[in-house]
Amino acid sequence: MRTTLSVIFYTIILIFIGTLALAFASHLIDLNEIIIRLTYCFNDLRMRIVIGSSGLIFILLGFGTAQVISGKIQREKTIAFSNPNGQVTVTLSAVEDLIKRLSFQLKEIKDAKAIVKATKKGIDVRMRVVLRSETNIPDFTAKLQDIIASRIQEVFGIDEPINVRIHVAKIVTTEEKNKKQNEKSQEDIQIPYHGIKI
Amino acid sequence: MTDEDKSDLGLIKIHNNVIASIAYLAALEIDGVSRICDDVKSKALNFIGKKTKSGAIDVRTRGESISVIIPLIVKYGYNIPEVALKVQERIKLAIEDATDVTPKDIIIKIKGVDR
Repeated sequence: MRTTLSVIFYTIILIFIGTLALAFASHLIDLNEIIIRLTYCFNDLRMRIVIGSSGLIFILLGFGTAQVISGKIQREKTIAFSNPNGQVTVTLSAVEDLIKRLSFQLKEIKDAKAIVKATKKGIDVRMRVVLRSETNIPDFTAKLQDIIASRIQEVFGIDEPINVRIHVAKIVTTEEKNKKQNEKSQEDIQIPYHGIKI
Repeated sequence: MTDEDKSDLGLIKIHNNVIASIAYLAALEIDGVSRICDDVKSKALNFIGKKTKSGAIDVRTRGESISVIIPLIVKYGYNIPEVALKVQERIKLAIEDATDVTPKDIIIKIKGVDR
């Protein structure tokens, strides 16, 4: 119902703006008349209140439509299962959240991003990780794949196969980290009486 | 909009917001539930200092049956199907106790994982 109403509303608004633009382009509207009407609206208190409140309504409607659209998008991206009392849907962003939190618990990972897709074959997880230099990449990635797959199956109670792809985007050395920290600490040092003119 | 019940003295109407509030409080009692998601309306009300106890919980009534849709955030480390089942059972019990109405569906939407 809400979606239909917002679609009708925005169609009317867009048609109105389009008609105005066409009339303006084909010189059907007198420019002086527009200026007179705009000046009247600008000076009259009642008109200003009406225009201001309609502006507020438009902003609220905009938020409402954004919510409807984002809600629809989220509705499509879910994993669902049924319980005796009703259905349970888990958004894929929740799965992404879980993977992110799981990876930050491992000391080898500096940064991680995950994209989860639900396909007919199962659940597809794509990870982009930044590792620390001391890590043995083949061993660690195999371990990470195993942890993520088993944890998702355990937490969400999913029996479907989980395919975890890992992309190691960067390896951060400890030296690099120390350098950055030193630079920061040097920046933080304040020179006494710096900036005081005598 | 409301659930109705007749007594000797007249009609008793229970607003959907009341059922939503019961569901909200009942869901938060379960270990593993971090919070209930907010919608634009509740966010706006919170912004102006009017705190709501229903979040984005949606209560739909069709005839005599009630469906409750609850978007929630689960704490990290908990088994989601278990938490969802506990929430459904707790909400069902709380609504039955408070209103004498048995909800037909309690739909849980897990929107995220929190610490």
